[in-house]
Amino acid sequence: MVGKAVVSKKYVSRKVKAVRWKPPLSDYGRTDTLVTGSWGDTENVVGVWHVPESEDDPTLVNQLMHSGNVNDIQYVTRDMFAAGSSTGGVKLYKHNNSNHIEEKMSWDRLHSFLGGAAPCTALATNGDQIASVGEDGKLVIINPNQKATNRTIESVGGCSVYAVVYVRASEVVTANMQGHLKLWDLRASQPAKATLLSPDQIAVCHLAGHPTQQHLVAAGGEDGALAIWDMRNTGQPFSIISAHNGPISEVKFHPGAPEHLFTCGLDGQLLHWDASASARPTHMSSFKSTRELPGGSVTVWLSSDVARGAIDTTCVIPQSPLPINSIDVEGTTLIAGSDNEAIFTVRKVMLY
Amino acid sequence: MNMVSKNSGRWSIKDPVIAKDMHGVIGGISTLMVFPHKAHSEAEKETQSKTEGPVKMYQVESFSWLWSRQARKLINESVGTYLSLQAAVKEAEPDECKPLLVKKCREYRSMIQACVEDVNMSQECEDQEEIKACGQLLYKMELILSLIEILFIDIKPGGLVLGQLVMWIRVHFTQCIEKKNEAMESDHPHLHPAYWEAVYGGVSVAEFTVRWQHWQSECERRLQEGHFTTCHQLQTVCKILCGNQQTINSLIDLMDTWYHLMVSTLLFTCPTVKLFRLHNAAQDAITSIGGEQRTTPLDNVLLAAMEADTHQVIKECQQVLDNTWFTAHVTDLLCHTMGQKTGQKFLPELRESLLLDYASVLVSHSSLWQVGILYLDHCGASGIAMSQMVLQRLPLTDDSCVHKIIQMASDRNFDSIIVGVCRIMGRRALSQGRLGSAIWWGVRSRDAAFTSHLAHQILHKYVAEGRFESSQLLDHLGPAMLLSDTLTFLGKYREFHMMYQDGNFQDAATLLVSLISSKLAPEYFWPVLLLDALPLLKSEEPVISAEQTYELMYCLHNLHNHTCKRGKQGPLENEVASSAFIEKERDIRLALSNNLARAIIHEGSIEN
Repeated sequence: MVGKAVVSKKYVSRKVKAVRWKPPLSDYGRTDTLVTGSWGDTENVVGVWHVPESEDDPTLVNQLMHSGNVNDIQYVTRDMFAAGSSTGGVKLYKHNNSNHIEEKMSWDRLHSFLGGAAPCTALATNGDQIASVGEDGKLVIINPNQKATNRTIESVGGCSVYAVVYVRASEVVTANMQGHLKLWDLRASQPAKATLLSPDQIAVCHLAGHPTQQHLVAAGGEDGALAIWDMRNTGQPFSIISAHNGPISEVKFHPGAPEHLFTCGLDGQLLHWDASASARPTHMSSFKSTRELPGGSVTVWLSSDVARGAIDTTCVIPQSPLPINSIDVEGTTLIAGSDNEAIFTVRKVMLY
Repeated sequence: MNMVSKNSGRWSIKDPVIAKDMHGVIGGISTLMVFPHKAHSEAEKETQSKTEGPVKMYQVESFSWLWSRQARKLINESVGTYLSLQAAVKEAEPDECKPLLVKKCREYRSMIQACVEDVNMSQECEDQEEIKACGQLLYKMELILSLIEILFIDIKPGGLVLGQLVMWIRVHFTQCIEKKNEAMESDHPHLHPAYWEAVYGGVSVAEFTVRWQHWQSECERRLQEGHFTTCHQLQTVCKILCGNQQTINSLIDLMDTWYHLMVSTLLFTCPTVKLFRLHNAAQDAITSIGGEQRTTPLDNVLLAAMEADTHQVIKECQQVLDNTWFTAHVTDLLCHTMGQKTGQKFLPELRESLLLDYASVLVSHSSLWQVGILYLDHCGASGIAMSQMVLQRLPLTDDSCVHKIIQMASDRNFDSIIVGVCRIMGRRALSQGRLGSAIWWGVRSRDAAFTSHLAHQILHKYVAEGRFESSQLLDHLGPAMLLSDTLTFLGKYREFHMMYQDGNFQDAATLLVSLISSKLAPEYFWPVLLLDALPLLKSEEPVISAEQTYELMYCLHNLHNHTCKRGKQGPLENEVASSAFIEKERDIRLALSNNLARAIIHEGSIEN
C-alpha cells in the first residue's frame, strides 16, 4: 500500500522550515490548504498554498514577508495560526474568506538573552493559549487576543529548549538540549511537575503528543532515535528505537489513525512508522481483549512489540541529500518541507 | 544601501566621502566591504563630521543570475540529478554509461524547459526586461545542451547525425510550423501570402527516407521533363528537393539561422553526412548567410560543437552564458562521456575547476550553501578543503542552523570542524551568562581547558551563593565528566550531595574524604568541603575512620597555614564561605578531635 504512494516535488525557491495543513472544517473533512514558513533567506516568507485534489503540484495562494526564520507554525483555531521567529517573536495570522492571510497580532522579543533576541524554537497550542519556547530556556504562555504575556517560566542555566507540546489543557511538556523533558502544570504556582531524563545528554529536538492518549509523548532525538514516553512513568522512556542517521527534525502522529507515526530528519529521510501490527490480537489474548483493540488503542504504542523496538518503518520518499525539516499529515496526504527548497506532497501515503 | 544596478557591468557608489579615498576589505566569499579611509587630525574630524554627516560603510556583493528565484529552482532540482549521475557513473559498466548520460542530459534539459515555462507563467509580476532576459538565457542553454547531446553524448552508430539535427531544428525553430498553421487557418490556404513560404520551409525540414536517392533522381527527371513549368512555385519546391544550392540559398530569409540553412542543405545534398564532415558544411552555411561578421557568440558555441572541439565549446559557453551552472554541468557530462575514450586529458581537471567555481558561488549564498557543499564532495581534494573552510566560516545564527552544520560536518568526518563550532557556541553561551548551555557545548567540543574554566565558575558561584546552577546537567554528566579534573570534581561533588540527601552517610563520607585527599578539589573550595564534613563528623555513628580523620586534619592544617600567610599579605577574599569557615574553624577542630577519639575506640573494639 505504501508502494502506491504518489510523490510530487514542488520547488519553491526558498528553504522550507515548517509546513502545516490548515485544519479541515469538520473532523472528517478534507483540507486543501497548507501553509509554509521559510528560513535562511534574505527575505523569509509565510506562504499559503492550494493543494488540488488531482495529482498536481500545490499552487501559491499568497505570501507575506516574515522577519527572521520561521522556526515553527501551529494552528490555534481552524483559520488562525501562530508563527515563531528566530528574532524571538511570535506572530498570529488569520485566513480571510479568499484564504489569503493577514497579520492579526504580534508579540516581539518574547525570548531574549543577555546579548539580544533569542530565537523562538517551537510553539504549541491547546486552542486557547499558545506556548512558546526558545533558546533562552524560557517557556512563555500567551493568549491569542491579549498583547500582554500570560505567564513566563524561566529556566536556570539557560539551556536551549527545543520542543514543547500540550498533553492536557493545562499541562505542557518541554524538552531541551540536554534531553530533559519537563512536565509543567500551568495552573499551579510552582508549575514544575516532573523531570524526565533521556540518557546521555542527547538533545531532544521535537515532541509530538498522541492525539487521543494524552499520557503518550513521542520524542525525536539528536541521535536519530525515537523515544516513546509514558508520562505516567517518568523514570525512563518506554522504548527508544534508532532510525535516523542524524537529528530528527519533526515527529507527527497521524491525527485520525494514531497507530501511524511519521518522522523526518536532517539525514534527509522521511519515515513512516506503522504500529498497527502490534494491535493484532495475539493467540494468548481472550475474546474480550481482542474486541477492545481498535486502531487508537492504548496498547498499540505501549505494546511489547514497540518496547522491543519491533516496529515496521518504511521510507516514504527516497532519501534526500539535504535535511527534511518539517512534516504534516491529514487524511491520506502527507506534506514535507526540505532544505532542497521544495515541498513534497505524498498522496495515498497510507490506507485510511 | 541598494545602489547597485543588476544588469550593467558598471556602477558607482554615490557618496562624496568615499570618492576621496576608498579602502576595501574582503568580507566574505563574494562580498567586499568598502569604506572611506583617510588619516584625520582630531580638529579636522570635528569639522568634517559637521559638514559631511555620518561616514558610511558599503557592502558590495556580486549579483548572479543564479540568485534569481527562477534559477534557484533549477539549482535545487539539478543537484539531485547531478548527485545521482556521479553515483551511477561510479557503478555503471562501460557499456551502460552512454544511455545513462543521455538520460541525465535529458533530465537537465527538461528542467530547463520547465523553468522556461515557469518564467512564461510568471509574467504578471516582476521586471519584464529581466523575465525576457531570463527566458532567452534558458532558451540558449537548452539549445546548446541539446546540440551537445546529439554531437557528443548520444552518438548513433556509424556517425549519422542528420536525423537528430533535423529534429533539433524542428523543435527549436518553430517559424515554419507557425506559418503553416497561419496559412491553414485562413479560408483559402493557397491564396494566403504565407502559404508557399510554409511549403518551402516544410519541405526543407522533411524527414529523410531510405529511398531518398531514388526519389530525388525521379524529381530531377520530372524537373527536366518540365512537369512543373506551369507553376513556378512548384518548380521551386522541386528544386529544393533536388538539392539545388542556389534555390535553397535564395530562400535564406525563411531560415532563422545558419544552422537551419546547414541542416536544410545537408538534407537534400548529403543526407548521410558523418559527424566529422559537419564542420565543412557549417562553414559553408556561415559563408552563404553572410560570413563570420554576422556570427553571434551563440553561433560560435554551436560551431565549436560541430567542430567536435570540447575545449572550445566549454570556453565559448563561458563567454556566452553569464552563469557557472551551465558550464559546470556540461563539463561534467562531457567529462564522463569522454572518460571512456582516450585523449582529452584536460577534461577532468577542467571539470573539477568549473565545479569548484559553481560551488563557490553557491556557498556564498545565505540559503544555497548546503547545495554548494554537495557539489564540493565531488571536486577532489580541493573540494574537501573548500567545504571545510566554508563549514568553519558559516554564520552560526541559531541552534538549528548549528545542528545542520554539525550534521554536514559529521557526514564528512570533519571532526575538527565540529569541535570548532561547538567551542564557538560554548564561548557565546558563556558570554550570554548561560552556564548550562556553555557546559553542554563545551563537553561536545571536548575542550578541557574551557570546561575547567566553566566548572570553576560554577564552583565560585556555589561558594558565593550556596546553590548550584544547572544542577540537573551536572548530575547526569556521565563519561563526559572525565574531560577535565575540575569537571570531574564538580560531578563527583554533586554525587556527594545526592548521597548525602539520600541519607547514605557512609559512602558520602568516603567520597568526601577521597575528594579532599586526591587533591582534585581546587584550594578555594577546601573550606566548603571541610564545612560539609562537619555534620558527618558529628553524626551519632562514626562514619569517618581514624585514617580519614587524619586526612581531614592535614587538609585543615594546610588551609590554616595558607590563610595565615594570605592574611598577612592583605585582606581575605570576600567570600561568604571563607568568613563562615573562619568562624567555624574552632568548631571543626573540636569535631575532628572528637571524631578521631571515637573512631579509634570504635576501630579498636571491632578488631578485638
